[in-house]
Amino acid sequence: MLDSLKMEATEDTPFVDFDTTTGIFQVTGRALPENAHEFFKPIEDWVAEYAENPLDNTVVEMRIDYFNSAATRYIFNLLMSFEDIVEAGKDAKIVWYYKEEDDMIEAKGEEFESMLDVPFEMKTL
Amino acid sequence: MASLSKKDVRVQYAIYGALFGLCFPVMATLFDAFMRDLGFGINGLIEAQKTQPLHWIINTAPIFLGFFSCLAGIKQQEVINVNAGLEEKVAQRTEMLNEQNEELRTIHDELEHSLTRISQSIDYAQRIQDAIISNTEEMKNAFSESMIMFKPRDTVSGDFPWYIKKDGYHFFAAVDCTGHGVPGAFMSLIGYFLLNKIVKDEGVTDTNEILCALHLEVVKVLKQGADSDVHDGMDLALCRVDEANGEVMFSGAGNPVYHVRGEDLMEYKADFWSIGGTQYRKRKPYTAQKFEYKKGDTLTVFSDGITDQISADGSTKFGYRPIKKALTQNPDASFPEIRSTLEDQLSEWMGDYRQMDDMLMISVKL
Repeated sequence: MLDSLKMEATEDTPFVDFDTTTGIFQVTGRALPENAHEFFKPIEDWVAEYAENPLDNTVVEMRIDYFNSAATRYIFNLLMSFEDIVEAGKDAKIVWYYKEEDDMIEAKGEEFESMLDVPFEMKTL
Repeated sequence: MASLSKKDVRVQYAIYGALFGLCFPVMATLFDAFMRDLGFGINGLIEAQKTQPLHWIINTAPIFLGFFSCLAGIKQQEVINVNAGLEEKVAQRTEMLNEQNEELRTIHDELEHSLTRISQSIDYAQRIQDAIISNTEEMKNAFSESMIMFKPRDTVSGDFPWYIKKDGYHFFAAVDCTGHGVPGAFMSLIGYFLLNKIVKDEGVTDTNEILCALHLEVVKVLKQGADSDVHDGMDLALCRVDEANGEVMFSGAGNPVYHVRGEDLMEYKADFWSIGGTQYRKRKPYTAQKFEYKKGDTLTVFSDGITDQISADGSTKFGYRPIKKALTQNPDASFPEIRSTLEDQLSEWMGDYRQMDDMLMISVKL
């Protein structure tokens, strides 16, 4: 099995912990990297490799407070990679956390939910 | 001699101590000779010494005082030595700091030089971008009233307003390219010329078809095949105003349009898909919405730089509500009034927090 992927949070990028021992993949914090490509590329590559031989059960927990428009695209694209895992017959689920008063993160979650063929759950923090 | 005693205060202290100590036997002997009428001659003084054993003790005073003074001198000498060492260290450190200062100054100068050159280069780029954007002057003439609130985050911008008149239609859009600054500005040029090409040269007039064509062109220009990892693209809200029929046609990629009549605001939502970028599996063609307008109605389109601006405490986004409120709270408000209301709110919201993205809002009165 692939080694877990872990990235510490910075002022502009979220904490990333894709744990292959538990199947819980967490993204927590703010995503407004100056160079979105540079930040997300290694994560995309990692997930592409993971999708070739995934665990039976993967839960993606998104706890994003803020993302800019470039990061939105990359996050959506990242979540889209989990469609492959579902298609391959394994279980994968996205849990989208948002603060009750944060309409924008909630709306973005609903938008993503309607666009993705992955079981999707909205939860308030 | 002065330098010797300065060098070694131990000797100095010992001598002063002994000399001071010598005063005691001298005074005591003279006093004793006087008291006993022995006379101050050498014989008298010897007699005084011989016959009074107390003098023998007193005679040791120069030795003891000299000795203790010498001890004090040793301590003093230590202090002097330590001080001298410190001074030397301070001198060395100062020299080191001076050298480091010099290095830093050189680095600073180099950085300043680079920064100046980069700034100049970007300032020049801004002239080019301004020259392109200035065709929105036509927009001012096209509508009875219009407003463009345009605040690039950096000198050049990924957001740009776009306007064109074609076949009796007024087309205008608030375009938000991914990124900001220089990469944003590159994208904005791509967007600008592709929009012109599609509408002006190819004569596409339905807004949904314009967006479909724009998407295909951006994908082509940026070579965004299925395995491409370039997700750049643009969001935009595009309106077509048909004055003859009093009708607006709208298509959006990510960003909506607000149609305001008096205190009523109608929002027409955009399609989810961004132009270019991600190869969505489920991407569908863009849709268009048509609605009628009355004279005096206004249309407002914007980029997400305003709505996504984070508050001074870094916790929440500005959101859509303040824009909606500014547009509807006073039906008689002029565009400059609406603009200043919104700008005041926005700057209060931001506080000292940096502007995070380019900001663009376009309003026209129909």
